[in-house]
Amino acid sequence: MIAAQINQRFPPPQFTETGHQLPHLTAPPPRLGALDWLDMGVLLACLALATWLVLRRRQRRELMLLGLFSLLYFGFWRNGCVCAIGSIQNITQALFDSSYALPLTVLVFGVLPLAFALVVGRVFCAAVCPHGAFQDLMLLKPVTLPVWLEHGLRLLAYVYLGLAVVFAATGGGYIICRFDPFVQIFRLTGSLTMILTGVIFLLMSIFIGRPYCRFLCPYGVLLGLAGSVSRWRARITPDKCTLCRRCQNECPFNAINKATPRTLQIDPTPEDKRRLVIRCALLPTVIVAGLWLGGLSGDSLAKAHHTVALAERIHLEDAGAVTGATDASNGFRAEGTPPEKLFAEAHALVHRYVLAGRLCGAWVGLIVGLKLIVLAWRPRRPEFETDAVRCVACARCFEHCPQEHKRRQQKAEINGVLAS
Amino acid sequence: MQEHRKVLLRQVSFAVMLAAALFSVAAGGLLAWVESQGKVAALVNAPEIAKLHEQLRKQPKDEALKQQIRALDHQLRHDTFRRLNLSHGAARALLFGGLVLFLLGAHGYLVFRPRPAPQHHPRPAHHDEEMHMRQTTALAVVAMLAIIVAFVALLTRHPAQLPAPPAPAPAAGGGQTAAALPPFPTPEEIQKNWPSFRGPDGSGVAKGASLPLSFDAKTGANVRWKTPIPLPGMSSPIIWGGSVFLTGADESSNCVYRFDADTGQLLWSALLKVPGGARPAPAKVADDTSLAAPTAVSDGRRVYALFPNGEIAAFDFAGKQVWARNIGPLENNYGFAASLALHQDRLLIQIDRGVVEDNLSKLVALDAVTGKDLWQKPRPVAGSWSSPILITVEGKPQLLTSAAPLLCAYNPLDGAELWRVNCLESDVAPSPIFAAGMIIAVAPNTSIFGVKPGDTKITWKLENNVPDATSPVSDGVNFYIVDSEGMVMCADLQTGQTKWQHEIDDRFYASPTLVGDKLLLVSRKGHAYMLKPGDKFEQIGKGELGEECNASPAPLGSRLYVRCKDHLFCVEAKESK
Repeated sequence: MIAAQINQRFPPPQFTETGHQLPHLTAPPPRLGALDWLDMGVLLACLALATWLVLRRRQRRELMLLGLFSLLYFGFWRNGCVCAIGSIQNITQALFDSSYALPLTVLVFGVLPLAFALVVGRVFCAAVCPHGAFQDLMLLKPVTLPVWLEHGLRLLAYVYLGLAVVFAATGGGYIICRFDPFVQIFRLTGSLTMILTGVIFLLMSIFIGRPYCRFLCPYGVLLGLAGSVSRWRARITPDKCTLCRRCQNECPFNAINKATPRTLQIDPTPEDKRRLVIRCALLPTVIVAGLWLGGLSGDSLAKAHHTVALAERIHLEDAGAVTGATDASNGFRAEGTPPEKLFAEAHALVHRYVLAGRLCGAWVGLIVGLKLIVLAWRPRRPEFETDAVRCVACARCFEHCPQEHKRRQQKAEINGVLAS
Repeated sequence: MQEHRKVLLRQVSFAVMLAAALFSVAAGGLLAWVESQGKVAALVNAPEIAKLHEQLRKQPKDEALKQQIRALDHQLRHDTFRRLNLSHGAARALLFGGLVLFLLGAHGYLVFRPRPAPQHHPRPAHHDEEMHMRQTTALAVVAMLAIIVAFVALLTRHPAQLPAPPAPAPAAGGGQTAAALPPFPTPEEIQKNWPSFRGPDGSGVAKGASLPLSFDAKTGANVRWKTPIPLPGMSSPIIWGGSVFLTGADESSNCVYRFDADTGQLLWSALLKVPGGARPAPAKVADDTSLAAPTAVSDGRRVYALFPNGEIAAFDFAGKQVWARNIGPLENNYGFAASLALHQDRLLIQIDRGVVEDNLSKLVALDAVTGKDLWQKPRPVAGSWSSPILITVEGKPQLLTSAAPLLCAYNPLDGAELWRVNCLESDVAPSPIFAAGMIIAVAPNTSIFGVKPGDTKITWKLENNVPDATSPVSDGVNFYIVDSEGMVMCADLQTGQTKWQHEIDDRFYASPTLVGDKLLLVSRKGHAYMLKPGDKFEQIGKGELGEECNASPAPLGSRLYVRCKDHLFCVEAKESK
């Protein structure tokens, strides 16, 4: 069955005279149905186990072991495919292209981590995502980035998510998979550029906690948004916070929000109120500006679509603006389809890209506008707490919380008493 | 003892790390070398294979060549996949080496690193500090947004370069699309359309076109559509892509229309308005000329239209006026009628007025993009109503004009006169044609001349059946004329010898057109006569438009577009739809 599917997708050339042996495929072959179910089962089990480890066991070492397993299984064994991050694109394509049949595995990999995040926060990032686990295992000498830089760079992930949706919805390709820095390392093959990109990310991971997850991962954006409404997400301590600040010092991801002690919790000043009103008023402007800019970029983004690229090539060849011909243009001319038909299709696609670009621009505008509004607020936090969006439930803060140490000691004593 | 073991462990660790580092560097070097040898995809474009394929196209039955291609293909594949295997091996080795290096490094760092001194817990941030940090963060978000905006701005500098869309584009986008295209169309692109009066080369020949042997606008037989034309005129339709353009005018307005070639739907109607200037008075024209006699021209980016009152303008394909100006006065007897010509980005206008001694005639070139003057050349000729045509002689373009007394050619790039023949007289209305190396020029009611480009004397002269208004057409062997009284004549192109003549009881202003293998004559009464081009007269078909018709028809593909008095018609064989 696998061979049949491979043959159908990639018809091999005939080498009957020379007896040339075809090499093995470098991309992962299609999975048999039963193995698909195995993958889904492993994902569910890992998510459940990660939830238990984060919320009940609260043990960093065990989470690391689970992360190592995920890295080996979903990363190196399954070659990073199917992956939850890339599933965004499949789901988007299924929403916009009625001829595309969404595989159940992809749907489950896309939805299950989000469902868990809605209830218990980003446990998927904690130890189930091979990308996150790979970077986390590399983190040796964490450097705390300034908060302003953290927020600025995180905007890239929202833009990346918007672009990924634009390209998937318009048939322009799966950019998340194409520019995934780790999947080439998982497969031990691929373009040198992407392998080097992956290596650079891993080297950065020694000092900067999870750079891809924090500043680029589009699925992390969705998980963060889902996690922000979760009721039972990871807490630094179930007991009273002593405001020792150790958790904040130890978090390599800037995911701990500072406490504002009662003495400093003052009512908003007139300056605060004015700032808030201005930024609220600014929100529609930023959205409209994003809408406009996104529309302008649609024409250029459309070049990523193979039909538009071919139409452009044919047009430039006809106009004498380029010399020679490509395989695609030769094939098109041999096919005999009138160029006008191709141009009409290309124009329709450009129109779709302009529309999609507008929506993407509006999305980025909305995020920027909301960020500015949130940053205008005067926070009121009685305790240090994990940031609902940014926390990846890595359990580092547990390990350094004195209250957690006390709790563990008490638990050990109780267990000792019970055992005796 | 324990200290000794620790030192030994550190040294062994260091040695293994060093070995792993060297191993990784070697594997990385190998990987880089393999990568530099080319990609698997490059197989397809291997120059050796391409060269052999090219040979095979010329000698498709050469079995030895086929074997050679197969063997070379096999060899290339073998080499490529060997390199691929080597690449996989090197990648694995690099990963292994890197892993050992990292694990030992991590172990060494964790075991031998200096322990940090206990830290004092800093006090919580002061509230104003917190707000200050939040505002700095807001600034960082805005800065990142600015970087993204700059990136988008860079991105928009490279839009997809596609031909103008066939359907009307939004007004704001039309100009941008034209700007994104190469500045002017290629000759091949021009040949695929009917961009000017009497077609791409002004000869009235549509070789690949077809026409049904009969049609009738009254019954709708073989008439695809019929659309009312808002304002009158005698200009001919032009076609670019899926659109038909037409001009129309009355005493108060000059208009350009775009129709959908498939349905006849009027897509837009653009009113010419010269910015900042009062509209010139309507031209004084004869009834037989109209206020919209010059035919428009298009380069697929814009459509250009000139009117007898001197107003000229360019419109993009969305109907937006790109530029407009007044180049008048154009007054002459009967009314100005010369159609526009376009070479690359030069809009060429033949303005012939008065008598020779008036020195009013000139050839003008405008920049098609901006409408600004490029050059003007005075012409020592009398007023004329013929249109200039662009021909190619020995690979070089020439703009051919006819007006008494000169048949004269210019370089369309700079207006330099290339050659002239002093042979014409009277009020020249027929336009010249160029076919099979011979130019046919007409001095109305007097003579027809055969002239070879560059010659200073005429090759032959014919003095009977000379038309007064219509232009000739040629199939490369003979040329055909019809005069306004219905006399049709066929003569040899190279010698001017008359082969046949036949009188049709009808009147003609529209020039004859060669549509595929049919010679089409459309009469003023709206009758369309289809003749078989050749050495004897043979009528093979007839169509009825049912309306007065004075404009030359525009054939393209399986369709024929004809402007009549009130309607624009599209004729097409039913089975072609």
